[in-house]
Amino acid sequence: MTRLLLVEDNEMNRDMLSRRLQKKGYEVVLAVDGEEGVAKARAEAPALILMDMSLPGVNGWEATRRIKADPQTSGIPVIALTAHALTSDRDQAMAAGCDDFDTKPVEFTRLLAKIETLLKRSG
Amino acid sequence: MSTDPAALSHLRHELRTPLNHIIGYSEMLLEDAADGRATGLEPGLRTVHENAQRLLALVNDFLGRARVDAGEVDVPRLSAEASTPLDAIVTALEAVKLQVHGAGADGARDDLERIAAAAAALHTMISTGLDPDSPRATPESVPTIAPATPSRSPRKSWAC
Repeated sequence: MTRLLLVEDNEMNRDMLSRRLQKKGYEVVLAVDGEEGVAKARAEAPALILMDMSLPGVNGWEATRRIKADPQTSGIPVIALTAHALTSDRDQAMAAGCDDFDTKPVEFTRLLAKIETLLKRSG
Repeated sequence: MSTDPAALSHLRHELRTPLNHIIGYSEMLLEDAADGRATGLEPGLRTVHENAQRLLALVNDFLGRARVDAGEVDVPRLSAEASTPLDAIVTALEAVKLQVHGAGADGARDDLERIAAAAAALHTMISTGLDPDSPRATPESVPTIAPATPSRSPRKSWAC
């Protein structure tokens, strides 16, 4: 079963997205902030990370930079999730090292397609 | 009322967060209905989902970047226009909650409570005129829409 790491501080968003992904056959590991996200990226070796950007403490941009700077986790694709649909948010996420970007409310079918594309690309 | 772009951006974020919950949970329940579970709830859930999408479109339109940058945000009008889809969500949700047991969909109850809590948060914001400077609703300040007691403890965070 393909393991995904979902880094999301909002409990309802975490519950909703993890359950929907599990229904699609993914194993979902959860982290509630950037610090835990970085630690679980190392410990759990997920195939892909879904990263909320607006996190308390270490935010999603910084967590992604740390993940991409670590040789052990740099190859894991990261999809940024933000509540903002602005070009600047997308640019900022890509500059931090994210491989793709999506906005909340999540359009689940579109997000699934992005996950599958990145998983295929990373082999 | 503030026209500060940062305050308006924050308001947009605060409105979209509970909308995200309403849309996401209603989609999940609609998926369950499509899988043959909770089929009787489908029409009401569809009404909830459609009106949440309508409300989201209003928020994106009225609090979009272009309007904020141009200083053309009409918050009172947004507040007035948001009432209709929000009322439709609350009414449909009440009906769905009454149907749950009969539809053999007791498992949907918790998710319906989550939708109700998000709708109540929106109701609080809209009924107070969406003032970007006013304190935002918290789970503790949100009134319960339905007589049923949530079966789980209150959520701690409303911010995305």
